[in-house]
Amino acid sequence: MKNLSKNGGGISRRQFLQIGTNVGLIMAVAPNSAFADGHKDLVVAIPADLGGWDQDYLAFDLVGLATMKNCYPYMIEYGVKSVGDAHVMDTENIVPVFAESWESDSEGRVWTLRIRKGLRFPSGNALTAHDVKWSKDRAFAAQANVAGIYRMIGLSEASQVEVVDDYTIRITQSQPSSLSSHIQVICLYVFDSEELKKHATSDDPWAKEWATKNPQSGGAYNVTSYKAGQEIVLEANENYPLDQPRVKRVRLQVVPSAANRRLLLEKGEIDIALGLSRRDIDDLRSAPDIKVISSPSNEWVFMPMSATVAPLDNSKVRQALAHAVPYDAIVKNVYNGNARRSTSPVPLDMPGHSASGYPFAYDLDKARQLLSEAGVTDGFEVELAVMAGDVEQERIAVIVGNSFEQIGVSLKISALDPGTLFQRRTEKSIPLQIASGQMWVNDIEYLLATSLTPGGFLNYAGYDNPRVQEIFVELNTLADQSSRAKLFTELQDILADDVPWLVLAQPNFDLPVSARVSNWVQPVDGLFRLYYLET
Amino acid sequence: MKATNKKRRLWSLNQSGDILAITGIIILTVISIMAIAAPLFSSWGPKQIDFSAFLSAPTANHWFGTDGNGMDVWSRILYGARIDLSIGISSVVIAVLVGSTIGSIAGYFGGWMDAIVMRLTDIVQAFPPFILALTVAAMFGRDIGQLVLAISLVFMPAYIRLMRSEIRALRQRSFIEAAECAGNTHMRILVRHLIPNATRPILVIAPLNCGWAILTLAGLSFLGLGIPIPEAEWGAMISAGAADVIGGRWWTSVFPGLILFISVLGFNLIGEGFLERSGQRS
Repeated sequence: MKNLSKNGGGISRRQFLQIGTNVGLIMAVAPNSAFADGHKDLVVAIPADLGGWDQDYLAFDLVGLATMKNCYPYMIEYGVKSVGDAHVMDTENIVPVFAESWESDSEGRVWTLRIRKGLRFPSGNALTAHDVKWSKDRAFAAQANVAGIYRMIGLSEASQVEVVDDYTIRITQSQPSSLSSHIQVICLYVFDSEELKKHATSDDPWAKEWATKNPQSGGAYNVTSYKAGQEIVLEANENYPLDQPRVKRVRLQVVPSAANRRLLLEKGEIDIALGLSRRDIDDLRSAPDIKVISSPSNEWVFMPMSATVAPLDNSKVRQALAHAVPYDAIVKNVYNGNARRSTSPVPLDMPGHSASGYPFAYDLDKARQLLSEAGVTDGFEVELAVMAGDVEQERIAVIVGNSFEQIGVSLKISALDPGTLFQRRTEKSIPLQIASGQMWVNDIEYLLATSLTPGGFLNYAGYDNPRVQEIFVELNTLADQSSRAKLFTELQDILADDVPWLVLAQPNFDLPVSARVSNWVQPVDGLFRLYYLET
Repeated sequence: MKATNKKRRLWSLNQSGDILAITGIIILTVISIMAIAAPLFSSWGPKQIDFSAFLSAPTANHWFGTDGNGMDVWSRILYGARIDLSIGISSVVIAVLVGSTIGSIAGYFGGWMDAIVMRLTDIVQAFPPFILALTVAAMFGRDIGQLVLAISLVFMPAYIRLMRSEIRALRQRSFIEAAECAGNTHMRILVRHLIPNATRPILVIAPLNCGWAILTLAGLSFLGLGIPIPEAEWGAMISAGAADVIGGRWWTSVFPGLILFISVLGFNLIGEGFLERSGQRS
């Protein structure tokens, strides 16, 4: 009683400070200036600041990569198509943006990029073929992200990118590839080379340090203000070669707390809240003045199984586990029905997808029978790694664990922090894990390169099948679509026997926005395109 | 006359702190019985999923509702008590046994042994207690044994210091000199004469520490370093349910928070009771 009466029933100094801090936070993320021009700004709450502004060296930072997708000049881009009420990126349709044209020779090995004339960076420097050449030289010299991806299409040296004239670039691959345009949609972004050269030093010839700290512009939007950890202001680029972005100014406000992002959206202080949990999004469906944009997504959730750790090294055991996953319960209870069940390691909507790739239904008797055939009669315990703090992964782990118990398989669930998870994935030391991702290139060859062949950085299972590798090599140089389709079918038959992953679901993309926001285009790579938005 | 006697007896109990201690003991006894006999109090298992009732509000079927995994909150609170109480009590018991032993030896023999022990406790106590538990838990893992070790390490230095100072004070007393003159061995003097006379403060502090230990475990679980999912543990339940509160699903974290509060209150009442009784409040 003594302690209670100390505050006299009022609020303590600590409580006062806490309230003050919360009010301050709300005011900080929703400043009046955001609406000074009559609420025309689009305000987007993002969960974290960018990891840096140098796109060559940014990885696993979706907010950063998405921001750059809107700020860097990209030569080519995917088109847009409608699927039902939704707009999605059309990966079959490559559109020149800063490029005037993008063409290959008949073989698909030598590509010519013609750049539009009269384009300028915000610095006033002209955008020419020399900027493209310098940007790709930088990528090769510094072995940046682009250099790694370029190897998939036979580009490994800077000399393969040549300046033909001030507005023409020739790119000569060591082999033809059906992935060339897709890879270039990701990689053909350009730095303001004249500007970066000013900041280069003998120790840092590619101005990496300067490029990391200073916003790059010249794309659909220019960065006009950047307050680290607080706010990024983007304004439509008047020199953008296509139609002007409909929204002239966008404010990306850093709001780390998901609860605050949700609160701000409910109060109408922001227009888009990124990174909300599925549960928050479901709650917001019925909120006034808020709508949830929903579209099928190519994100897929799966459980890679190590093929080298007993007893998972036995394909019958992996098949048994595939029969013990309650797929429908996961779709219904983890995703509240807003997901599609996966039917192959090849994601739904990817050309070549076949349901023969994963012929497993929830059938515990069949699972027990397969375990018995594999000689595993006493059950076993296995570690299941999930990303710490990822509620959806934890819920999947609990549901799957509950089901596995019924066939004698006990899961030891490890919630790993991102650093440890990354390290153990690199070491291939996780027997069973939950993973999710999006294929930035909607093609099986890319899927194989990244996820199902040795050396693939997403091959968490350490999967290694010689025939699958042969198929991958054949696909590298095979342009004929019917021949590729046959290989796709054979591949999925092999995967159905090997079961390197338990494939669970493809959750829909759901985004809560204020009622005034429209024309969202669902990106294939998960990186929002502000260009299309309207308010 | 009878009524007056009864009144006086109650007043007398209150004065000695017995009411506080008895209340605390009753609270913890009830919780312990319900934890031990959990299957009698709930038809749901702690890890059993009700696929038809995810995040269901309290109903006749699920008294305290269900959590995001479709698990019964009431059942998980009951089974969670087994883990929370056992870790809370066992970590303090270990801290008391090891800490008191080390503190007694250091206090009795003094000299270099005392100096080394004191500097080591200085080092350990230089870390904020929760950060220390967090570090040890992160280093050694999340099994129950390792968590007990991590939490006991947090409390151990206090018992070392307490016992050392008590033993040093008692060692100057004439009855110890008499025991030495009578030819008793060091071990006998420590075990028979010193330690029994030095344990009173420990009886006061240990119950309070049990409450703090449970809160420490809850804190570790809240930060993802406690008991692994899907084991039932109060702190982990509060952590998992915290995000649901903003959506109006208060039951997933409020009920575990309530039982955590009541349990810690129980331990604190016992400690306060002992303190009152020993007359050391002043």
